[in-house]
Amino acid sequence: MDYAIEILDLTKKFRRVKKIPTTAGMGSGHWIAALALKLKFLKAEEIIAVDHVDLKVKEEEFFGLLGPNGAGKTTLIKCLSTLLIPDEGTAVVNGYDVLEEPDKVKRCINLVGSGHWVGFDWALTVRENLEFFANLYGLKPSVAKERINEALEIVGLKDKEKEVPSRISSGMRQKMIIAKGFLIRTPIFFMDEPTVGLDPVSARDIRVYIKEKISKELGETIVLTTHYMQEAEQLCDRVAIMDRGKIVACGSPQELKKMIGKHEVIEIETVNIGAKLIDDIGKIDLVDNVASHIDDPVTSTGTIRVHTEDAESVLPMVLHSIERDGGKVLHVSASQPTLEDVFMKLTGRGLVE
Amino acid sequence: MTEELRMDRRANLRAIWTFVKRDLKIWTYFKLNFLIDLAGIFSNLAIYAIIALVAGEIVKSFLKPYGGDYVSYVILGIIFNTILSTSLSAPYWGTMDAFWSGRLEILMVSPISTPLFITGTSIGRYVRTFISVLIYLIFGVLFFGLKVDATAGYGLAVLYILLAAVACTGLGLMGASLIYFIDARGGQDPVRWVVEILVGLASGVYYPLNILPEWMQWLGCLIPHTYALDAARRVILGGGIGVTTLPIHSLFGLNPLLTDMLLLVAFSVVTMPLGWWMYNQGVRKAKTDGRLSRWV
Repeated sequence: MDYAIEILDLTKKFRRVKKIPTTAGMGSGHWIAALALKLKFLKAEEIIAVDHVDLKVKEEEFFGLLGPNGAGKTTLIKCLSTLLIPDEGTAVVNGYDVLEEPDKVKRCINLVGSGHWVGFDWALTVRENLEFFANLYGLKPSVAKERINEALEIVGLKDKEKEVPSRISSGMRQKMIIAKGFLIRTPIFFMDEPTVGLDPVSARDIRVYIKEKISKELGETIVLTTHYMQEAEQLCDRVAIMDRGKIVACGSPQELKKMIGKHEVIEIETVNIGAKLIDDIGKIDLVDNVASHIDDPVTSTGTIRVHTEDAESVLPMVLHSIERDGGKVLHVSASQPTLEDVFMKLTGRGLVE
Repeated sequence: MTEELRMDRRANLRAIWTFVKRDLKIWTYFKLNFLIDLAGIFSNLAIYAIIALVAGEIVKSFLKPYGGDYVSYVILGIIFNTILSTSLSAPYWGTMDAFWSGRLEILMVSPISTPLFITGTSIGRYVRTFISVLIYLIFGVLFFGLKVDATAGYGLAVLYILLAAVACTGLGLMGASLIYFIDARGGQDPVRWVVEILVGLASGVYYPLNILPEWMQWLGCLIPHTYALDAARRVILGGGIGVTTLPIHSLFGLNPLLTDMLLLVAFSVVTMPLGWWMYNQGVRKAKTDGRLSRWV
């Protein structure tokens, strides 16, 4: 088998009922009329979450799905893990069709998501919660014990193993979710934004473990969804960039960054970043794209990244705009293109908006 | 090395045990709950003992097929209904518990089968139910005059209750499927709601059906509880084994105990496969609509 995952023209749509408020002021005796009105005004809108996606992931590859919130990454992962049934197309995971053989697919996959309370029992300790899942995965008690110890050690929860989830922080609960993922060693591992909510040191340690142990040593095929471009660049052999349900580009981080072409990127650290300033910079001649990232919401301090083919001409005009809008430039540098720049070039928008 | 997940017989048993252990841990987490449950059982029995003092003599003639003693009649009714109520509600609450805790998707993507998930989440509830039943029996005998005959046909009574439990589980699965079909996530599903109304009104848990108008007795014939309660009480409490107590008994012209048995088998054969089919179709619909997760 050449590919661990083959996605074939996969589309997933959702129908969501849009409720429009009914006429106000109707008394409680008119509930039938109100209900009739409501029913009359119920509207369903169709959302295409994944739009005719074709993709192949090689065996033992570390593959990233990069895109902003709502791009369709999680929906795609759910289709691959049999939690959602696609409307069109299909996917073959570890040689099994997700539509025809979902039970066989489930035996080959591991799924880690994010969300602080996902699946844990408040009355069970951290260790008991992990034992619960180890038993659901069919692990023998001796193997389960060994893996739980290792997982707790890796995520740094060894000293919290006798605490119940309500008595640990939300970041630690996210570590529990990750530890659960480290219990089994299936050929395919789906990770849906696993490091969201973690402190930088823990996130770095966990990334190292995923890369060195799970990917390189165990040889699992990993599909990681993230909107952290550094995470994708650091971990992934190849990255697919998703936007509005479509794959807009796919390749190694280096290949993707070459798509920027002759573009130069100016990075300006400044205070008082606002929508008007970004808009003003975007209107400057020779500026192709502009994106901002706020680090301190109180002072609106952050970084503005300006894409241009002529940095020398553009820089004075950008600095003038910042000054005019009440900003204060802290630092200016020429930057290497990132995957966010690639995303911006392809879609005209930033990853975090 | 990577490995595919395999659930052999031992792994399935371990998975079921882990559900049971978890349920019991949650149940005993708040120690006061157990005392409150005890007090609830005692007060429930006391209410019916008082009703027996007031009306026991009046209903005695209606209770001839069941030995004539109202206290024994009603305590057994409550015990059997407690068991069948668990069968009826366990699939719904097992699913809802997993849904609200965000565990439903994790279970659906794990190698355990849907029947194992339902069985696992149900057994813990049955353990709790049987502890309650034991307490009802102990309190009933010690404080409220429940008459227990050592020579009664307990084995046969258990068989009737088991058959009804299978039928109720089928109905429970139908009700649980409505979580997926119509978002019945507010703690009640229409199937269980209808059945519970019929149980309270016309199954004979609290009073014999022959005191009701005939059309209400026919309503009782729509649910398995009625046949199980009728038959199990007869074999435990004695009385008239051959006396017809339900309008449907006359239709068949067989021994009422045999009629009850046949109807319970029929209920089980219809509701159990239909319940599983509906539940699986519901899961399929949820996977199509994206409603397995509370966050989607």
